[in-house]
Amino acid sequence: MNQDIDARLERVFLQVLGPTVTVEIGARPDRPHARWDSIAHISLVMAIEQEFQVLFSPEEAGMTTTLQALKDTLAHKLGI
Amino acid sequence: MTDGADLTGSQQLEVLSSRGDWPEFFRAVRAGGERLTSDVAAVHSAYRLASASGRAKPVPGFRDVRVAILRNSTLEPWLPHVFAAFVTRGLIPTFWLGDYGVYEAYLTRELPGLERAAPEITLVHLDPEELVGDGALLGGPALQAGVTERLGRLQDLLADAHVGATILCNLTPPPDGVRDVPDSQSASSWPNVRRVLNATMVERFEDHPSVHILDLDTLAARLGSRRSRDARMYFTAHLPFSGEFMPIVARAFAATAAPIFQPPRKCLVVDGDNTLWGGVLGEDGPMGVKLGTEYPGSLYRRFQLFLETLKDQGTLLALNSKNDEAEVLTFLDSSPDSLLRSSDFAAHRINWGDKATNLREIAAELNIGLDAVVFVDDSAVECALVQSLMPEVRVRQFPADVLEIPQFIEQFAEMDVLIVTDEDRNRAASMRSNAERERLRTTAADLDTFIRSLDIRLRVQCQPQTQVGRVAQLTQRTNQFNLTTHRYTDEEVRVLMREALVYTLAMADRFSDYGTVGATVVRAAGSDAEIDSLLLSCRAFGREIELAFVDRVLADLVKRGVRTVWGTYVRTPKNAMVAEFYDRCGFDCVSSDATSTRYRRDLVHLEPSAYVSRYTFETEGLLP
Repeated sequence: MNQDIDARLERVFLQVLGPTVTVEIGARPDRPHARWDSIAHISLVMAIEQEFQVLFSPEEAGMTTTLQALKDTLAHKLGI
Repeated sequence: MTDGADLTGSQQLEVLSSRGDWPEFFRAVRAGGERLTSDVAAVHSAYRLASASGRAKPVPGFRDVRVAILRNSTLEPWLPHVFAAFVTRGLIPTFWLGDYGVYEAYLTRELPGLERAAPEITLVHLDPEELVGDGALLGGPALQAGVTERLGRLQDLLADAHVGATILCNLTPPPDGVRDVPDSQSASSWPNVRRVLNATMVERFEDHPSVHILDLDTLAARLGSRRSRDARMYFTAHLPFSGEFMPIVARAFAATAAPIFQPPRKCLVVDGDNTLWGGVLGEDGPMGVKLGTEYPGSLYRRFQLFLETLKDQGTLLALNSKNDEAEVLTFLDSSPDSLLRSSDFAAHRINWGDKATNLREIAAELNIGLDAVVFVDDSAVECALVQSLMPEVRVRQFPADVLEIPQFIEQFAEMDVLIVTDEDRNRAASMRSNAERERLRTTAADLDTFIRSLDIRLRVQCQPQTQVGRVAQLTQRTNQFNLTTHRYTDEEVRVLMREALVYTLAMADRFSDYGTVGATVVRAAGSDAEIDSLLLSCRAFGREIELAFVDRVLADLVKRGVRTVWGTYVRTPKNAMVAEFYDRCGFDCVSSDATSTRYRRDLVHLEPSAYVSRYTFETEGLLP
């Protein structure tokens, strides 16, 4: 994935979830994280949609509950 | 889209929070304004940092507010937007969020939580589709009866609830899938039932002192009802607002909440040329300026109409124009197109002097502080001059594009009030009659003769429930004659009327009826009493009625068994005029330091003062 997009995505995580959670998620990008709950997920999806000007379908939003899945979906949407 | 500037903004907030520099942190959030409120990631960042702060101290220039939210849908992702919108208004909210769908149980106290949260504001938001279920699509008489009964019960609970000021959201437009043609024909279809319910809601609470309506219906209509809700988020997460609608609702919530805690600015000072009318009167002439029912004059007329509504709700209007005075006054009083007449302005300065000096003179004439003034002018230069010389004045540049005038009016929140009192409606007339009084004063031999010639009638009331809103308004607005400057909301005054003694003072004279102009809050315990607040509107200065008011209140306290009264003068930058008021009332100073002076008065041998004989009295609620 493009480094700029990675950085922007990390910034959104930092802003919404805070540095501690972001670091923990970054360390295990293929695992769900306890602090990434359903409410945080809604906020994350909305912030990412606004940042990257994309729309997730309900199915995409439902499946992207790990950082890796989110990166993959975003890369697909951005055609990278 | 977040750009580099936002990143800097968020990083700045991180740095400020890590330093614990909360005054600067909240000032930075406030400076972010509308742009920050709309940035999803940035508002979450600001909210997260503020929530984790563990801040104990108040932040100068901001007021902490406890906010409760009763709901039947997912509102958590919306809270950061509300946080940012409140901070933009100088309020720092802490939230208590009720569980889904059990709002009634909180209000009836079957569920704990709400009472412990002790909210100063409670927002009630009910998602209509959740409220009526399938009825939103099916309609029918059963729906109409059922939902009317449920909302009626909720409104009964709210009317008597002590949950701070209540802000009740009305019902948003029907969801997609409603069949327009058949539903339009039936009175019991959901779209039509919803309209009736929204109208009923307003009627029910129009005069209620502490329940106010947040008109989500209009906000959604303005944005477009399809855009106000995101079907993906609604059906997967039960989120009632789209991402685009969230900041709009948050700002409207903050705008409704702000007047509860912050008094409106008292005076609007406007320019003439290209503000009250289009063009330059001195050059275009009365027939050449743009004002009337046709474009573009219709837009200026709309602004005049707005000013007229402000005047009717108690805002003082003043005119500050670089023009020939006689020409402007003649135009205002003779033009068939001008809605405003010269008599609508409580003061005017029409000359070729600089507008900052004029504005200072207007504030002095009206006896108000510069922080009570909003200045509107189309000239960027004049606006910059006033702002630089008088930072307390709120300066608003009038739009150069006339088509932006409606939006300028919509966003003009400085004078917003939730309740308009009789005193508000009469304020302009009262200010005008002051000029006649001043003429009388100059011809009177002395102050006593002048006061007696006014034929002043005073009405002192104790615990007047009808005056809750006015007492709160006086505590919020009065700066000069205010011994302690304690500020109270409507709900807090209601509580004070149960737990303390609240006296009000109304005044009328031969020129006008001022309505309620003074109030005092006294906390009595056994034979001792403490004067918590004592204040008088600036409109009533100079008649010494405050001395007569205190005299009557002390006499009533004696009848209630009080033998010693304590009072404190708490110094502020604005209340030096009452620094020695308790001395004048016969109190003894018992201690004093740089911030306050403590007084005591023994009431055992209280005699009526000589001041009382100047006035005619009427009392209500005082002991006989």
